[in-house]
Amino acid sequence: MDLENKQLNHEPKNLTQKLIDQIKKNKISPRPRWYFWLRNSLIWTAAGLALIISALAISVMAYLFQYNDLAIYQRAHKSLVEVLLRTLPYFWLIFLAIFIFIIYYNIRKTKKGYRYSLTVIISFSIITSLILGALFHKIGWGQAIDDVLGARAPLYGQVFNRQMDFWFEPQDGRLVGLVISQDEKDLMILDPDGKLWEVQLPVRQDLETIPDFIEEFIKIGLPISLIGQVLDENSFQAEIIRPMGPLGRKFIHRPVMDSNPDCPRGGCLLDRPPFRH
Amino acid sequence: MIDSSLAQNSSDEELVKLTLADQDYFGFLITRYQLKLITYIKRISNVNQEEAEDILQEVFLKVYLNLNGFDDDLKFSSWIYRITHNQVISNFRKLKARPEGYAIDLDYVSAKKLLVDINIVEQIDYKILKQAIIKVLGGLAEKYREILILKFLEEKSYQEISDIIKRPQGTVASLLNKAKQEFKKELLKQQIKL
Repeated sequence: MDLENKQLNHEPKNLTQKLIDQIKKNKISPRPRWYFWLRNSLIWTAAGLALIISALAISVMAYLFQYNDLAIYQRAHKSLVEVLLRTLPYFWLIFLAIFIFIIYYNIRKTKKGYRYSLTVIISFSIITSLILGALFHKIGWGQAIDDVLGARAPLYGQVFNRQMDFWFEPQDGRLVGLVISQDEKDLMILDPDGKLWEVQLPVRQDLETIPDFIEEFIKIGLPISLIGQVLDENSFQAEIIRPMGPLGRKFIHRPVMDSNPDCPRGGCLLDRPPFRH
Repeated sequence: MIDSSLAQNSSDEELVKLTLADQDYFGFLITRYQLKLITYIKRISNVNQEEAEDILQEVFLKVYLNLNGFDDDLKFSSWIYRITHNQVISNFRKLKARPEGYAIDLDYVSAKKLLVDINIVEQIDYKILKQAIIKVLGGLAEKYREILILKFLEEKSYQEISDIIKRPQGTVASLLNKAKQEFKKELLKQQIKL
C-alpha cells in the first residue's frame, strides 16, 4: 500500500496526452518493418561473411600444413619445436581470431544472440569454420589463395607462408628454387630472389638407383628443395633433394615471371617453363 | 475512433498491433507502464522526479518509433524494460557521472524476500529494514544493484532479466549469486546488523 501511494504521488502529470500530442504534432511514425528486416539481414550477412572468411583462412592453413614435411625436420638441423615455431602460420591464426571475434560480435547483435554465452558462440563459430574450411580446402580454394598471394603479395615468405622463408635460408643449409638446367653432374637452380645457384650432387649415384624418381621431379621448370651447405657465393652442396609440391609455387616462379614479358604474374605453368637453358 | 474497452481488455502485445493501426492506442500502453517504469528508473539511477520523467518520455518515444521491431517471442514488458535500462545507461553516459544516491521504493514483502534469499531471517522493524537495504544497495556496484532490483523489487524471472539486460541466463544466475555475496559483504562493511 505504501509503495502504491508513493507511486501515485510520483505519477507524471498528463504524460500520456503530452506524448500523444508530441507524436501527432511532429508527425512521428514508427520506423517501417523493412528497416528492422534490413538491419537484421545486414547483421546476419556480416556474420556469414566473417564465417566464410574464417573458413578460407582455415583452408589456407590446411593447405600449408598438408605440405609440412615433419619427417625431414631432423635433417634440416632444427628441432621439431623450433621448426614448428618458425613455420606456424601466425598471420592466418591472428586473421582467424579476428574474424571469429567479428562472428561473435555480429551474432550477439542479432535479435536473440544475447541468449547464447561467449563459449557457445565461439565454439559454434570455430566448428562451423573448421567444417567449411575443410570443404574449401577439398575444392582447392586454400591452394588458390596461396597461389594468388605467392604471385603478388609482398612479404609472402615472412607473413603468409612462413614455410617458404624457413626453407629458403642458404646460409643455414636450406635452399629452394626452380631447376633451370640439368646435366649428369649438377643442377642450376634459380632461387626466389632471382639468384642462380650451381648445385653439386655427390649423392647423384645413389639417386640414380631410382631413375624414375629423379625423372619425376628434377625437371627443368619444376621447383625443388635442398638441404646441404653453401660452398661459395653461387655454389651449394646438396645432401638431400626433395620435390617441393605445389606449396608456394607462384612465389618460386616470381623471378622467372618477372624476367619474361611472355609470362605475366601468375600465368606460367609448372610443366611449361618460360625459358630453358 | 479508439475502442477503450477493447484496449483495456487487450494484452500488451495486442495493444502493440492496435497502436500500429491507430496511434491513439499508444496512450493505453503509456498508462499501463508509466508508473512501473518511473519507479524502475528511480530505483536504478540517482535522478530526481523531473529527470526521471524526461527519461521516461524518451523511453516511450523510442518504444513508439521501434514498435515494428518488437519481437513477438519476447514479453512486451521485457522489451520496454530493456529500452528503459538502455536509456538510463545512455543518460549516465551523457552526464558522465556515476550515480551516488537512489530513490529506492521498497515494500516489506520485497525487502523480506531479498533477505530470506541471502539467508538473513532476523525479525526487524520495516522502517529500519528498508533504510538498511537502501543503504546497502546504494553501496553496490551498478551491475549488482540493478540485478538485485530486477529480481527482488521488480520481481522479474531469470528469463525476463536475461531479455532486459541482454545477457545469457547462465550469466544472469552467476551475476545474481555474486550480487548476493556482494550484498552481504556490503552489510558487513557498513556495519549494519539485521
